[in-house]
Amino acid sequence: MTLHKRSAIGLALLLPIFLLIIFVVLIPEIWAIVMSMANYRPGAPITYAGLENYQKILGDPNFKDAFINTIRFVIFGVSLQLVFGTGVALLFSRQFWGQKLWIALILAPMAMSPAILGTTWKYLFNSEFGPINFTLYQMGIEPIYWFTQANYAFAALLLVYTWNHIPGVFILVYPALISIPPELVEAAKIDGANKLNLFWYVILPLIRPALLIALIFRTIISLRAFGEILVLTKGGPFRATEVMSIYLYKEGFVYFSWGTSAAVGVVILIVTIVIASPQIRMLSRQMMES
Amino acid sequence: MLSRRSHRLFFLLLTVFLLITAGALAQDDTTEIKVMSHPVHESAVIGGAGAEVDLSPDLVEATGISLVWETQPWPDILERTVRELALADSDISLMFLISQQYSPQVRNQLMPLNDFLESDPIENFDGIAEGMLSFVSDSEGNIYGIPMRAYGPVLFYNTALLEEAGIAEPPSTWEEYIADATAIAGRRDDGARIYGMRFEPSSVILGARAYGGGLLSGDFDILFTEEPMIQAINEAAELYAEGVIPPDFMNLVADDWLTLEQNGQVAFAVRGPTYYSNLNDPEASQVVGQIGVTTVPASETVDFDLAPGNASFWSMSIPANSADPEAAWEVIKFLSSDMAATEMARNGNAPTKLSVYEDPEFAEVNAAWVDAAAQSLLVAKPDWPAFDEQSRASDIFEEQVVLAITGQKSAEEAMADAAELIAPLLPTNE
Repeated sequence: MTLHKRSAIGLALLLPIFLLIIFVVLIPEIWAIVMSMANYRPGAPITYAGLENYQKILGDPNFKDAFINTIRFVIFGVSLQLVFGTGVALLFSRQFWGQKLWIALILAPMAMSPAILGTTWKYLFNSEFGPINFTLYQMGIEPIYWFTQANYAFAALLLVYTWNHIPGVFILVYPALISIPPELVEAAKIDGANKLNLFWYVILPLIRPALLIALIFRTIISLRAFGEILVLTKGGPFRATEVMSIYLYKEGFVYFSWGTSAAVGVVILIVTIVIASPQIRMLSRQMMES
Repeated sequence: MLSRRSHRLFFLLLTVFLLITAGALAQDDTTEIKVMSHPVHESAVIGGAGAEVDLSPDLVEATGISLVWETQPWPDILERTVRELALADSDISLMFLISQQYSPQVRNQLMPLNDFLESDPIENFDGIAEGMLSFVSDSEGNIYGIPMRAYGPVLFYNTALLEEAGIAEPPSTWEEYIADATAIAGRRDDGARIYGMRFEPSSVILGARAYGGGLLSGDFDILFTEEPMIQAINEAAELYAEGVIPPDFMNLVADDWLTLEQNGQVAFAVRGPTYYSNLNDPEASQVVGQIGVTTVPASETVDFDLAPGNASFWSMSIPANSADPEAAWEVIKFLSSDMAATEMARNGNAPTKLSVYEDPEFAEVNAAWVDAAAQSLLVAKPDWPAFDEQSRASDIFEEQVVLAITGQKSAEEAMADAAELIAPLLPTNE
């Protein structure tokens, strides 16, 4: 088979994925960019708006708050997911009875929709009927109204989001952990490494690629966090938990200003690229080095 | 030559085939159309609640049309209908829309019904309140919806809680209502909180109306910066501080309130009258037989007796992209008939024709609330007029109300800020 023919077959085999990317990613993105430059409301004629929608959102203090909330949410959320996800993976990297069952339980939130998880947590946090406040009341503690104060609401949201997304980190870090050659760990122990040294100097460098991938995925996914927030707080109280995706939803499906909503979508895309690019570069560099 | 067994099998298969064909042919006489609505409309027609009267067979007999229901809960139905209307083609033929949805933007995507009304009129069309029809019409007289479910909210009260607090009668003035709610609020022996009243941020509109004020005038003049609204917000702030309304009132949704009311944790609730059956449902409610119904009283400082509640009503509309407008009209005409309106009322639907309230059977079955409902319907009006940016304006208003009630702003400051943000959204300033 000639090189030319082999290239043609290779390209033909890649064609379905190219088509998928074109139809599922590229065309919708271009359409979103086009929409973001239009006055587009259902029932009204579509007119060209230039950068008006961008000017509108960038001049809106609520959007600025949503932007800051998103960054805050991503920083805290991703950090917690990485710490707890890695912690759980470390815990499970040792053999123990019923390990597979526990792994299945740990991964269970991954199989559930954010809306269902959000609704379950909403019940748990319910000020009147929720088990959390009921337990507090039984202990003589006044109930906490989780979603009426900004800090409590943000903390509750982080707790829920972290719990829901620990499996996303676990599933990447756990295989990296169990593939560490045991002799490396043994050698470090013989050389007198304590548990902290062992983790810091042996395990962490070896699982770094997996952690970087987790960091990239979790950052991108957390930037688009939506389902749990919509169900639990709808961005409240006083917009304290309103992230950009909730702002987008409100513009698009509550106020039906689809042009503005598309502009928010484009901003989210740009923010995602800006934040994820250095991480991806770092990962590529590390892979090249290894 | 076929054996006897093969013959039997052949005839059996032939019979099955003929039966299936006959069934299919019989079904061909019926046209199916898809309807998008809230679940209450489906249960009003097919009888999910109340008297359990199923109007579907009558509809098929009268029109040859059967309905395929696509229902969405509140508030998802708002988003879903707007998205469906925006499509170039839709398999939905008929939609049930709530009053505040009839903005110019949405009306543009609906069929005017005047031609249908002229060529194939609705029975006793004049029986539908003029106020409701004007709300679903434009300035040129085009009608875009036929109202089918409407109510003026009534005041539910928990007789057991009133009795415990030594209150013999439901309140006859707004001031009494506030005082009674305050007196009842507290904690039950089992630790559960008792709230004086159901309260949502938009409840201040009712308060302002009780004092003779309101939100916006018919010409979109801002009224909410005036004294009645300030008074209502300050009053709500006091209720909040005293624990008469829940600390997380801003987060509670309709279902949360219903659960609290069914648990016997709420003394007063302003609601649509048909919730009487939910509160007296033995399978869901702990307050069966303890619910009284009256009208919402106005303040003793004004010269009218009833506080005008938020009149929300649902209408049947034909989308401009309707799959089958003619069939949709047939259904609208059938469901708007006096017979269907009365039967749907027996299923727990709040009728739009006042004549149904006068129906002896309906009045007898719903004796607990029918008088209060009829009186409320006469004075009720929608909280917000329909305009394109109404949802955004409503959100801004409620945010400012919550800030004022929770003490983060004064009522005057909050309403001034709301006015500044809402004024550019009103149709007069577009």
